[in-house]
Amino acid sequence: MFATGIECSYPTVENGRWRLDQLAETKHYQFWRRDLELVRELGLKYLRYGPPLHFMHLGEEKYEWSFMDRVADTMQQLGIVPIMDLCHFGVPHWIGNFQNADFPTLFAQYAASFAKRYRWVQFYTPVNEMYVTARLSALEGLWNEQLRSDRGFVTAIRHVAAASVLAAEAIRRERPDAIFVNSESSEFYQPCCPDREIVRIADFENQRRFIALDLLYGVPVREDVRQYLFANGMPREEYEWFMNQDVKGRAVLGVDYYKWNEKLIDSDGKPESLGELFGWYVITKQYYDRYRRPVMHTETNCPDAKEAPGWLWRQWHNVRLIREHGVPVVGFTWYSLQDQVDWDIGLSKPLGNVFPVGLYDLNREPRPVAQAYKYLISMYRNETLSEAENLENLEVPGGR
Amino acid sequence: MPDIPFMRAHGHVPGPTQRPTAAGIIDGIVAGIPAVALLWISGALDVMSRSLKLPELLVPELQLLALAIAGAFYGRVFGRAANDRDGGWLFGMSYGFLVWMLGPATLLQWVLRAPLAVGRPALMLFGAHLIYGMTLGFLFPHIHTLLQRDLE
Repeated sequence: MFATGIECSYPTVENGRWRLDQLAETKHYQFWRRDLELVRELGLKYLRYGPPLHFMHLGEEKYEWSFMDRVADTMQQLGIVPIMDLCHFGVPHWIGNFQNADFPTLFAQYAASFAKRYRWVQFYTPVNEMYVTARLSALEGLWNEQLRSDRGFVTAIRHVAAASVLAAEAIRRERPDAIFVNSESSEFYQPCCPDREIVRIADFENQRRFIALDLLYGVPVREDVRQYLFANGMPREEYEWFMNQDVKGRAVLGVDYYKWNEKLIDSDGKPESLGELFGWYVITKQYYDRYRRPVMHTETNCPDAKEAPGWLWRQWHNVRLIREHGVPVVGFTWYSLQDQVDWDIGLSKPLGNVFPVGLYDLNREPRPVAQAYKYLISMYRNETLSEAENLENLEVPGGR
Repeated sequence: MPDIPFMRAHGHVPGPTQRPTAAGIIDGIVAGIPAVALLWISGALDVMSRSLKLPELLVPELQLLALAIAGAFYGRVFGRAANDRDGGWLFGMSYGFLVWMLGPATLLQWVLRAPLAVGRPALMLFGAHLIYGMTLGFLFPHIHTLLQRDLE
């Protein structure tokens, strides 16, 4: 599956004063039809697409489908296979934020209604990058609830993981053959030095990055992490509930990777972006060894137009090599189709900075990486497992 | 070209389908026509030819040549920002102001050791550059579209 995505984040900042809606900032609401055409012009069929939850989920059992109906019709006409990304870093104003204990149930109702209305949609990402959602909302104080506490983080991660589980179950009731692409940001923390405290922090962060996927896939967390969850408000019975869920079937582990995902824990115990140290292969192998799921490279890009084609090929060669070594990678994604806005500052402020990472710029003119990706796709279009049908019969060595 | 963040964001690396320099030259000449017409109608061209000590018929050609070069620079440097169909006219008008400031107001004054024009002709010269910039910015995306290569 060769794919791209429409950048669709919609967190709020400054205590809800601003919603940084990327679909608006990148003019997708204006150019949505052209954007879908561009996907096909590149030779792509699969598209990560995030409908605007904050505009569509108006209240309990109240939905606004008109925009999505038009997009969905056009997707079908063009033969686009969407991977529907139902929650991307934000919730509607009336839900508040990820601390709201009702969010998982309300979100599952939305997911069920969505799946019922668009029965032809088979691929879903219930909640995108759960770990990043919880971390930036409740540990680093950037988005939504803007908390800076372990208790807030644990609450948020419990809610997004539960939302993901309940949504998957709800979708599966409407569409039993649904396939879930659980995209998660791949992270890695390297201690700067042999100082015991620095090594401990890096080790803990390297466990904390797994919490959301562990809860989703029912993989027991390490004992110290379990105690961390309990100490910060997770009831033991809730943990057991997660461990007894079964949403692994027909689920693909989406691994997002950017060169800033690897971090160094510096001598003050603070994470600093390290650049590419080990790369996608090594980090993905860590995730694969833990979850034993089919893998998809679900996000990558490069903010330098000159370097972007080289980065694309580097990521693709990582995919090829890891597959040769037995990891079943079923897809590859350049994210996103169009440039993004304010992602250079992590969507922390509404400044309007263009982040030139797209296959196309905001005028919908192709960047050099679009030509490179089109060439890559044409070269490898007959690759085994490049089509979703192969997922049906996929066996994972040692799969849980 | 310096790799400053603004330029990187707005893309001095042209896309594979784009021909920003060619589009800028053509656009510069087209946008120069109303500017030169204004100078001619207002009589500012006559004042300029006397200041430059050049035949009056040669000044419009030189003016168009300078504006074509300025257009090429505009396309090459501001490629993607110049392609903005909504705000291009305003961006271009700012560029017209910059060309006026660097050319007639600074460079030529320094070379001639006197203003190129004063009074009403000077005002017309300033206005001509704003019209040039606005037309350049407005037309650039459209002319550029006509010159696009195929992505293949």
